[in-house]
Amino acid sequence: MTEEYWTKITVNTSPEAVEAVAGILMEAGAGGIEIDDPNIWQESVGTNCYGELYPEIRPISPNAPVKVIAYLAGDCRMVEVIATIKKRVLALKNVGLDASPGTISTELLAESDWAHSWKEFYHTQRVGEHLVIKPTWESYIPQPGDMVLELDPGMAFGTGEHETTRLCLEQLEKRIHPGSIVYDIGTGSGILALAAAKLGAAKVIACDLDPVAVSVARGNIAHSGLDEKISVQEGSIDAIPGQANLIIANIIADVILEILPTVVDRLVKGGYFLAGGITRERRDEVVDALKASDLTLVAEAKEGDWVSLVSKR
Amino acid sequence: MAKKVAALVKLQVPAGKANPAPPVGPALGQHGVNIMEFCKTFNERTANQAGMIIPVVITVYEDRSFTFVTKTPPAAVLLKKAAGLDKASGTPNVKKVAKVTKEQVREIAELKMPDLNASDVEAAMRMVAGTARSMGIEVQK
Repeated sequence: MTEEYWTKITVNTSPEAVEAVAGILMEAGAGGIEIDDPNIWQESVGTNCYGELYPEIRPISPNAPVKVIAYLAGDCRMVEVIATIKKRVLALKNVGLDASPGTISTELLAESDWAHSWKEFYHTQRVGEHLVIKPTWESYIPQPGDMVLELDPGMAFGTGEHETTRLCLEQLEKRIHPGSIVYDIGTGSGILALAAAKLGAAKVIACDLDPVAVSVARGNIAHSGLDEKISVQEGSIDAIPGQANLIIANIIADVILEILPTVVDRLVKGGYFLAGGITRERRDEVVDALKASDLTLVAEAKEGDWVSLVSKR
Repeated sequence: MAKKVAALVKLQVPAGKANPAPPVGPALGQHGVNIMEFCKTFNERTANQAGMIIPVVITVYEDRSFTFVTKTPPAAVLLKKAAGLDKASGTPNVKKVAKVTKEQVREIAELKMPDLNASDVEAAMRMVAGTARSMGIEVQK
């Protein structure tokens, strides 16, 4: 059976009827449901707690209509199926559920290669002078002096697509010395730890509070064959003993301020602290805290809303 | 890392059976999320709930990395299980196909309370009871 088209059916309904409408669509043959709920932002703030930043959220009426969306394969008998859905959604008021507005819209979508469409967003990119970040499925012929990082964008943050990651990579390239010991706090995908190892670090210790990030980072490191140089552990900087020549924390201002005393303690005299993920509004606050901790600001870089700061002990 | 949230996507997907077909493919593909990575992890995490439909909220960050949390199964699915029902009634007003007790409705409402947009258990019970009646399941007094 070839399915060339999908019919996207969107039902606008009230929050209290979402469950019932989802049930109706599943019975109509949907393989799953998408729910476009304007209140989702309010519900989700603070649920992950690994240093997420949420956009400013405008209050929305708790009764704002929700879109319940289903995709049905093929187009035969679709008119009939949609008529049944309409009838059942309208009938919800008879069972005491307010399904208003209850409007239904349909759209025909051509079958596409959903499994790979997202890859359009990722391409090989050059960062700094020598670093090249390459998705595993693209081919690239290295130029003399190139250091290629192979990375599969997985679940953990740090695909090289974000300004803060790029800013940190550029600074890392400038500050790292061969043979350095490097700590990467909040490693995410492990991209900065990998770059540090490629750029000549003797040993890299990376950590993350998020167990998913730890396993993604380990996967990327193993793929690059760098597991001898880089170790990844679950937790924060407290769990790493000893001292490093360079400490990276591409997280957010609040976390950087929190770990700063430990960072200073773990940094050798003359070592560098590379702090990223700081929004422009928080820049002064972080700079003041660095100075108060006897660190000297030696460089800063800005891109978009983001700032990264390099300080020296 | 500075994980700025770019999008939140709410789906209901059969446990252990996520695949790149709709709704997962179009919903996540438009945000640049690695679809196979999502499917693999979702299926792994929900394999022990086979047969259930699992609501899931996916947080997509600005660099297109993501995370997700799974929620309690939809009311309609829990009701079918409680009533031992395969398929809801096509004409719920005329043809009642099963019964659930008020106590069962309360149990489902309490289970789903954290995920429902309801102010209290009474409101949640009203949603669950309404969903039951919409399926031709009679709620006993």
